[in-house]
Amino acid sequence: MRLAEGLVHFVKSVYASTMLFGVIPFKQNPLWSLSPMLAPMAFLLFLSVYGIREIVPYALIGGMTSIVVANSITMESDAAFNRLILKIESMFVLTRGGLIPYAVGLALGNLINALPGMLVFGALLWTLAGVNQLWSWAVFLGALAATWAIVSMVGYYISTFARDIRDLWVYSPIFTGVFSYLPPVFYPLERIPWTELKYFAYVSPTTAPARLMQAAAGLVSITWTEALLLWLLLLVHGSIVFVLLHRRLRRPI
Amino acid sequence: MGAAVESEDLWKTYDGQNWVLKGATLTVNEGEVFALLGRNGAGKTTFIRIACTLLKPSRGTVRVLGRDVIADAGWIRRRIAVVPQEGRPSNLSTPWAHVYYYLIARGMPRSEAARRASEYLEAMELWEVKDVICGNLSGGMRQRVYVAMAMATEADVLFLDEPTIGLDPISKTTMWSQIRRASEEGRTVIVTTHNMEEAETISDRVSIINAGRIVVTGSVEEVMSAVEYDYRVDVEGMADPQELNAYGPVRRIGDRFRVLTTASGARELAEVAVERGWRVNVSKTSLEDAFILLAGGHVEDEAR
Repeated sequence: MRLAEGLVHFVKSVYASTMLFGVIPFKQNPLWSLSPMLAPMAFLLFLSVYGIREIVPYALIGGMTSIVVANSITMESDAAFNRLILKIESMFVLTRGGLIPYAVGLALGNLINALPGMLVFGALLWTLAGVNQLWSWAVFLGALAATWAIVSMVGYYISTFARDIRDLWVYSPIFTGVFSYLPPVFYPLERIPWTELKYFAYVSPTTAPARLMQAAAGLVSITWTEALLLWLLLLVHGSIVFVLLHRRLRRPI
Repeated sequence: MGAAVESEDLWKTYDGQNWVLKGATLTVNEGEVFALLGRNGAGKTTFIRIACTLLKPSRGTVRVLGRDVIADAGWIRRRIAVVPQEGRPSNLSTPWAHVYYYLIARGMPRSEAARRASEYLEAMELWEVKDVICGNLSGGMRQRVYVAMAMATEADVLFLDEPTIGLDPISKTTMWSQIRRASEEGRTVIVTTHNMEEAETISDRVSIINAGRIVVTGSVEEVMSAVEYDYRVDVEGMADPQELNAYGPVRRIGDRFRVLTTASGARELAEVAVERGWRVNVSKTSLEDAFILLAGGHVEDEAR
């Protein structure tokens, strides 16, 4: 009974935070969702202009991933802005659920900005690349959700170090680049020439979800064992960041 | 009447070298409006943040509603609300959204949250602008949004860190009446302020904190009685202010000198002024005079 009550309260807190920091601001300025869409869209345009059709599905999966990454890593500046400038974080700490539902709501709010871009790229993937299997989309959803959760936690973790909001403006574009364009997100892992570098690519939390999505779209072939390992890797990534974040939030100030 | 907040020998350092709080000990009674007065950097906000469970003390204890802020932080958090110093609401959301969703986040049912949001937005004179995004509101209105958020909660103890800073006189009066109202409803309100008029008007008791130490705690009258001077004499048109030192502590305010002194000293100084052709203005000492003396260094050093 207590658990159910706690869960209901958690969901209500997340909902409140999402509405206040995500839905209502998004209604005020829907153009926010356009900005992270532009770079992958431009990349797609170049490929179309040059007629490199076989790479288009990779660009679409990479585009979806980078839109989620760009909108999730902004957690670092959003959380820092709420803490340092608005100072509203301290008000939300003083609620039954405390910081966690507030942070989840903030991250969900950022995801709302990603939805239009994801829908556009998803529709293109369906029509241009012919990805129309239900299980493929289930894998996409799972992989993108994991990317959102991990990158949002990374963003929140970084935000806790900020003493001035300007410290953080530089990090969003850097992390978007490092997580989206350097690892094999827009291209298959097999294109990396050195084995060591292939393993190193898995340090990025976007490599595993991108590979899973590429496999689900039929672009690369992976075994069930590899698929399982990739999901496990995502779990490991998530656990490491969660532990780091948890320790950071519990630190004596 | 029990204690809403009790601190005992509270010490806090951020860097291990400089102490922001140095053994602060005070008790705030349930249901009272308590003003914590101090200069910039005196330790007021640090005290509030520790009592709100947002900071850990380096040494000493703080209990809120009888529970320890470290051991029972979760229990305390549900029963308190805070208005942070110089906070402001999100420019892209409305006052209604801030208050309503904050109450939902605190666990209030929707209908109750809507009712209280309406009630407190009206009380804080924000009802007319409830659907205007905060970016289009004045600074004072934005400040009142946060106060409405905290006031509308079910919290037993409200911590307001300089809630009236930057407000116009009418908005201040509105805020003060809401603070008094909260107290009449049995809630405890702890306010930090530099505004002596505010402290005199709204608070049942005050504490003056200086350099991390509580210098004096009591009603406004008790705090003023901690100062040995009952009168202040403002003197203008004199050549040498040195001779004023004989009557009590002297402070320069623009072209005039303010002397804090006893009744006999005030009488004597007024006579001298008449003889020499100085302009004088004699009045009773105010809380501000007491504050300047107590937080200024001299008396505090003696008290130690």
